[in-house]
Parts: sequence; structure tokens; C-alpha cells
Amino acid sequence: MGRGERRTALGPDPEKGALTVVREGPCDAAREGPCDAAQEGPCDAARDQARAGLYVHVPFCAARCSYCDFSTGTLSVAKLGRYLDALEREIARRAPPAAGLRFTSVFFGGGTPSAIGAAAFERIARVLAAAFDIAPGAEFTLEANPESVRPALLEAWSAAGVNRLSLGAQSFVPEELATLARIHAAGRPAAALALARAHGFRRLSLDLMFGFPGQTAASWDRTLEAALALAPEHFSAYCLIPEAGTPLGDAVLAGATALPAPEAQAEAYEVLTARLEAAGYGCYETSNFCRPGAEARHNLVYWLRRPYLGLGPSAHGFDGATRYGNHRALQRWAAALEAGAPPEAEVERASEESAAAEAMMLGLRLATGLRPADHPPALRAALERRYGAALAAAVAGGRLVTDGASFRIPRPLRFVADDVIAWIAAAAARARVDSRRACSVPSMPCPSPPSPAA
Amino acid sequence: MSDPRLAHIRNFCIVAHIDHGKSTLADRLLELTHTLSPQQMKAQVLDDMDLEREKGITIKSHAIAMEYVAGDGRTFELNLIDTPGHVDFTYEVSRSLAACEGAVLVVDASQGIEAQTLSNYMLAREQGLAVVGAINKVDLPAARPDDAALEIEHVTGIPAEKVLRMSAKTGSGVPELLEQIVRDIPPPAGDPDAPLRALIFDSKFDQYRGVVALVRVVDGAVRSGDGIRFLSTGKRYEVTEVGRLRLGLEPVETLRAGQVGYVVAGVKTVADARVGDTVGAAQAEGLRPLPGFREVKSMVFSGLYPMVPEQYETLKEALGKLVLNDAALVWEPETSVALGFGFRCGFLGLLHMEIVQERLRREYQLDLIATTPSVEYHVLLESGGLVTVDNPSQMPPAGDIAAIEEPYVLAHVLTPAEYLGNIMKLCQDRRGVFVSLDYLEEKRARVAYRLPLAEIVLDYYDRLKSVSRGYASLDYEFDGYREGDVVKLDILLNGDKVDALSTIIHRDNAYEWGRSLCAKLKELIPRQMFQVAVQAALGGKVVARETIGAIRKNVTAKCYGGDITRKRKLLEKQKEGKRRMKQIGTVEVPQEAFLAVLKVER
Repeated sequence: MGRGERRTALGPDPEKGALTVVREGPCDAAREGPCDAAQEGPCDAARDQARAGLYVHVPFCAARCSYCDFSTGTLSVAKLGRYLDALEREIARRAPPAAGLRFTSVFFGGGTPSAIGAAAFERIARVLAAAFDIAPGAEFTLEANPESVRPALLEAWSAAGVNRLSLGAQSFVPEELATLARIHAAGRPAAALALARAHGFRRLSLDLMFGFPGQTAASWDRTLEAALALAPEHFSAYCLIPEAGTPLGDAVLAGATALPAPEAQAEAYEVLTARLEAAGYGCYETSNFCRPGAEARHNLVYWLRRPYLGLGPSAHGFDGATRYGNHRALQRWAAALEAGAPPEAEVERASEESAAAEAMMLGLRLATGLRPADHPPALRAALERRYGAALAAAVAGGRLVTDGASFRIPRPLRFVADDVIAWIAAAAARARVDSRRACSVPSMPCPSPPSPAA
Repeated sequence: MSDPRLAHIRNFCIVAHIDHGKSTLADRLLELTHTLSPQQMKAQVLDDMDLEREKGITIKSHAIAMEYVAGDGRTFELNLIDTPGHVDFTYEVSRSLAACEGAVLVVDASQGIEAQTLSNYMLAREQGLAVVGAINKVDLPAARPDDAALEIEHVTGIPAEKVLRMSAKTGSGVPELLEQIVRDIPPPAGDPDAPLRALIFDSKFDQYRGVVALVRVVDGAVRSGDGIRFLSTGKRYEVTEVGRLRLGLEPVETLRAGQVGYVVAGVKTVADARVGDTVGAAQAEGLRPLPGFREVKSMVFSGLYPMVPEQYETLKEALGKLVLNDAALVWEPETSVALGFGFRCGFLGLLHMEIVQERLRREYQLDLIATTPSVEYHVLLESGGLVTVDNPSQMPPAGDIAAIEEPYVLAHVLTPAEYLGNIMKLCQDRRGVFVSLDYLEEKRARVAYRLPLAEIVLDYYDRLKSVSRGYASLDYEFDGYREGDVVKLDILLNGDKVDALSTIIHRDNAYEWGRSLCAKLKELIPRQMFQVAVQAALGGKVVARETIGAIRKNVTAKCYGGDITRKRKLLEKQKEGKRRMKQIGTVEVPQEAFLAVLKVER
């Protein structure tokens, strides 16, 4: 794409410190400038473009996958109508307080957003555009099942501003798709991707899954081979979490079927990382890989602890100070809104403690690590006070590396990242206690035991 | 000869094994004597500590006064003194027995006499108590009342046909038992006109009254306002309240000779009103203490550490409160390289230790690490000195040691004859020396071994139960110090010595023990970020090694759709899991690992 075609997009303006127009598109910015392939992790441009996210949860699927515990159900005309009406009510509720936010990304997740037809989608997009300040050129992602990607839908999406598609491929091995209860055929993602490209979509992502029962090193290899051949801009690769209440999760928890051994899962992750990197995809976050500059802005909003608005059942939001989670069930969420009541099931106001814990835990998932400078001064100070010593101890013990400006989990430890993070949290908690009781202990009066009678 | 003024009093206890129905029988007696209204009756009234109910044993003594109108129309004052039911509390049992003139020996119709019952019966006989024999649970299908009666005859000399058959559960036979108690158990001796002498058979701390001493008045009388002194310490107090023991405390004006009741006199800790001590009139000259008082001695020692350091103060306060009520518990501060600040505690035995730990956990919500229990060694130094060591980390360097003496016990095991072989092998494996073997009846034997105490504090009792399918029972008494070839075995994690895991052990067992312990620790210590070497060493020499591989997976791979709160809660859980581990050098060690020593199979 040439510079002449530049439309609008977001970027930092060093002068004003505010968002300003840069250029269109997936990642040309990155390819041409600030991001270079050698650099790990989300490039600075991507980080700066991830300012605030808007998430819409579409709670419908054609069929439920065996591992999925997200809020979803099968589609009916009545349910869809109720959902759309309630969503409009929620948008009306949430728009006024979000008036000051300019959204740099929109994400339709689910469920299967592609399961609702063009008309329903257009209606939502229209209402969103009218209610919120969506930055021109914002990243606009829609999760799609390869099975449901069709020309008419693609045209509708494109017309409404969708510029990024995330396709749930999971596996390219037919038997594995059956295990996961995916409804698409193994060859379907290739066709969907080609179709999307033909309709002008430049930012495509594939979801892959590993570490599920029955997967072998050879089958994972087959999946990676097939996925790489499609050359999407972005990959998300998730290791299966067996959730209670899902068919596959329950089977694993009951011992009816077994996950691959942790060693095999770790091996699968290493193979994943190595193969994707060899093909030019950097791992910028534990589970996310992309060509330089193609980071998902929307996900970065989460990891950088920036604000986002969640709409729809089970959606979560965060305004910088308060987090909320909507009712999970469509029925409850809709009923609350219909009654003029708040749709939240939980609301949590951040404390200094929770904010610092989040910043630490989220930052360390990024390949660029935890950068205190990413956060406002008060949080930066809290991070230093609460975690400074623990981070230093983690560096000393080989759990982290640092260049002074950031703390990163070294690559060989990425697959045990939670252990590193929990270790830091525990070390910080211990340090707090120790500093409180520093010199108060040894001289307490105590009864001495009576001398034992001979 | 008993004073006629005491002729209506009967003081007795029930001698029985755990589960043989002592508490149920007590309930029936309370019912039949209308001591409690039906609303007050809750099953097993006397065991009022949750822990006692759960474990089915009595830890503290209790007593309750009943009024009984006998068949001949006379009204009697019955004082039932409940006794602790475990080998750790033999001394307390002997003091409770000393407060009685008689004992009801209760034997389960299907189980027969157990070691504990026998041992308490022996104690009762030593005290000269009159014994009434009763077979309980005769209503159960497995009951063999005639065999049990023969066994009682064999042991006590009470003719089998005189032994009562009853069911405490249904109440059948219990009225007859009451009649037999007033007929066969003598009224108390003692001089109502002499200066006060009363035996303390238990004392407990009450947060409003201070120490409540449970006493049997032997001579004289005691009333509120009297001056008293404790003969073992000479400390003087003024009595503020006396009373009888009903379901609760029931104040009365005077407690007289022969009676059982309580005395409150502003005593601050049970250590000043010790079980076995004599309460005497403050002004009386030349008062002789009642016989049998001795200081209780800790046999088993262990370090108690808070799991998280901020609970240190709570632990200190809790121990301070427990000793108000438990004169047998001793404690002093200690520090461990591995565990930080904690307390060295001395216990009567393993059960006592377990109870104290459990009470600290339940009543004070403390999360504790207990170090390997140890006995007290006498270490003779090359220099000629002697040091006592109850903590492996205080063992002097091997070069300074001339000899080590370890405590021994004389253990009696009562068992169906078919398990005798297993039990003798177990005792031999534990360095036991055979002492005697005799048969209570054809199929039940009593075997005595002299054993190092260290060999039975860990898992001997469990092993005994397991090799005898639960039938064998154990009783033991302290039997002096003897020289032994014992050594200190250290455990190293990635090269760092973990003092809390050190043990003192006989040299012959050290290698095998080291191997088993390393294997057990490998099971109990979770995989860590980096590989961990677990080593056992004697002196500087490594005798066993295991390797714990590095953890391979611990990552949340999905972002839960922006549900950061959920992720943070997961982190919080993992963090707490890690905080519940002790950081030792580079290794995180969970609480359970410190109990590994107790779990080693051998």
C-alpha cells in the first residue's frame, strides 16, 4: 500500500500526546517503521495504538465445541431479537459514561459472531458507531467460524468496517476436530481464508489449539504445517484448559480421557514457538504470534491494563478504576436490562493492591515484559513499592531478565509463566510481612519449661 | 473405717477402653439418677470438647455428682469421675483413681479386655479400689459375654457369674449396676474433723474464675473465704468459691470430707494447681501431702512454627493460653534456619502432641508446621559434660560426643494370640528387647518389650494396629536411659541443610531411613522452576539422593475474554499456595513435607 492511499488510523503524536491520524491498515505502520522483525513482542506502535477497546459478546453458536465454557447458546429468531434489543439498551446505558473514550479497537467475540446474519450484525454495528467515539481506522475484529464465512457476510462485515478476522481453525486433523466437536471440515479454513482475502481482508488470524486428548507430536506438526501454508498475519494458540461443565473438560476431570503429559504439552509449545518464528511470526504474548506489526491491538488493551467496554452477556469491562462482569446467561442479562437494571453480575473497584497485582501479572505475559513506564505515575510507584524487591529477587534467581526498563520472563520459562508470576506475588507478600516485623521478635518473654524431674 | 457422716457417699470411676461404651454408660447413669433433664441430655455429655468427641477419647478428666435413691430407700451421693483414656495420660488417670474408692470395669462383650483397660485396672488395684465388673454391648450380634466374663475373672478374680451383663445403649442391666455400686463400693474414709486436705485430680482454666481445681476432699472441709495452700509449692490463696460438679459448676457453701467438687481461689495458671497436688488448710501445721504427687515430664518434643510469619504472635498467645489449662505442655522460643521463629514444645506423648496441634489449628485458626518429633537424648561429651538434646539441630559435633543415651520404655501389648508373631517381629525391628509373655486366656496374650522411646514415637502405634488388624492395644511406661548408637541424619535440598528435617536415628537404620525419606520428600515436594536435589547425609557424607525434575507446564493460555478479575483470583490462589510453602534456600517446601518423616514406610 502506498502512502497516497493513507486514510485514517491511530498513532501517537509526540507533540500533543494525543491520538492523531496516521495511516490505514493492518500494520503497514509497523512494517515501514518503528517495528523491526528482530525486536520481540508488541512493537511500540502497536502498544500506542491500543488505547481503549470495545468488546461485543455474541452469545450464539451453531453448535457448542466440547471444550468451550464461554457464554453461548444455539440461535433462534426470538432469542436473537431479545439479544439485539437488550444490547441496544446496554449500549444506551454505557455510552454516556464512556463519552470521553475514543475506542481504538472493536472486537466481536463469542460464541460465534459469524453465526448471526448480516442484518443483525449491521444493526449492532450501526448502533455502536452512533453511540461511541470509534477512532477512524480502528482495528475491528470479528471472530468467525470457518464454516460460516460466506461472500454475503464478508461484504456486510467489510462494509460495516470490520478489518480483521479471527478464524477458529483449532486443528487441521479431521479426527481432532471431532474430539473438539468443531463443525467445520479440516479443509474449510483454507477456503475461508482465501475468500476473506478475496474480499479485501488484510488482517487474518487463525486460532489453534494444542494439549488436548489424542493430540500427538505428529498431528500437531500436521496442523502447524497446514496453518503456516495459509500464511495468516496472526496466530493465537491456546493450550486446552479442561473446564468443568464442558463435555471434554468433564471427561478429562473424570479421568475418562487424558491430556497429554505436561512434558508433551511443553514440547508442543516449544515446537509451536520455533516453527512460527522460523516462519517470521514472533511470539509477542504467551499465546499470540504475529508478523511484525500485526499484533492484535484489542488484546494489547487487556495486557496493558487499558480501559475497555464490554457489551453482551458475560462481557467484562474496565474503565481504569472499576471492573465489571455482566451476567453470563443471556436470559438474566437481558432481563436485567429490560427491567432498567444494571446487567452486571459483579463489580470490583480496583485498589492499589489489585491494580499493582494486575499490572505485574498482565505485563509479564507480554514478550516485552512488564514496563513500569507503561503505567500512570501512582501505579508505577505502587509497583515499585510492592514488587520492586520481589522482581529483583526473581531476576537474581533466574526467573526474570531485565534491561532496567522492563522485566521479562525468559523464553524457556514462558510455559511456566504462571509459576513465575505466583512466585513474585508470594515473594512480595512475604517481604511485606518481614518488613513489618523486622526487629520485633526475638526478645519476647516466654515461660521456660520446668526442669524435667530425673 | 469410714465415718458414719460419709456413709451415703460413693466415689467411683469407670475403667474402659475407647469405644467400649464408657461415655454411653455415663449418659445412662445421669438419666437414671435424674441428674439431667431430658433437654440437657445430649449424647455423651461428659466429653465436652469437640476433639474428644471426634477422637472418641477423653483427654481431660471430668466429674459429675448424682443423687441416687437406692432400692432400700436410702439416698446416696454418687460422684462419677471420668478418666482420660490414653496411654499419654497415665499419671492423670492414676490421680483420678486416687480420688475414688471404687471402679466399674467395663469390657466390650465382643472385644474383651484391651491393654489400656488392663493397665488402668492395674492402677485401680494399686490404689486399693473396689472393682465392679460389667460386660457391655451384650445386645450386639457379635457379643461373647461369657468369654469376656471369664477374661474378667482371670484378670481380676471377680467370679464370672458375678460380672454384670448390660447394654449401656438400651439401658438394660444399668439399674442393677447402680445397686451393685452402692453395695460393693465402700464409702470414703477420711476425717471430717481434721484440717483440710484435698486431692487435685484435674484443674482447668476458666476465663472468668481463673483456675478451677477439681478436688476430692479427704479430710476436713473447705468453704468460701478459707485460706488454703498448695503443698507442693507452698503458695497460699483465699478461696472465693466452692461447689459441686453438675453439668456445669454448682456453687455450694461447703465441701466436706469424702465429697468431690471444685475450688476457685484466684489461681492464675494450672501450673500452680497441679494434678496430684494437695490443697491444705493454710494455717494447719505439719500437714502431710497426700501420696502420689509427681511432676509430669515431657517425653516427646517438636518445634511448632507458624506457616506464615505474621501468625507468630497469635501462636505465642495461643500457647500461653493452652498452658493455663495444660500443665503438661511446656514451651520455649526457638529459631530454625529453615522455618524462622517458632517454639520448642514438650508433650507427654504423640497423642498429646497431636491434640495440642489440633487445638491450635481449630481454636486459634493457626496454620502450623511441626518439626519431626524427637525424644530427649543425654549426650555425654568427651570433655566429661552432659547435655540434653531434644532437637536434632542442637546435637553437638560428632567429634565432641563420647556417648549418647536414649530413653527407653517398657511397653505392654495385649493382642489376640494369632497376631503375636507379627507384633514380636515389629518390636524386634524397633530394637525391642523381649521381657515377658503371658496369656490372659487361651487366645489372648500380653507381651512386654523394652523399647527405645524414639522407636515408638513416630509410627509404632499405627504399625501395631495394622499388623494386628486393629486388635492389639498398647500401654507403656518410662524405663530409664540406655546407651545407643544413634546418629544425626541431615536432609539437604539443593545443598542447603534443612534443620527442621534432621532426625536423630540409630545408625543401623540410617541408610534405609535416608533413602525412604528422600523418596517420600520427592513425592511431597512439588516440581519447581528448577531441578531440585534431595539428599540425606550422615555427618558430611551423602547416603541417599533423589532428583525432582523441573516443572514443565504452568500457564494460563487464554485470556478469558477480558475477565482479568478471574485471572487475578487464579493468581491469588497460586500465590497463597506458594505462601503456604516455606522458601528454603532456592526450594519451596510445602507444609506436608515436614511431616514426611511421619509417613515413611519401613
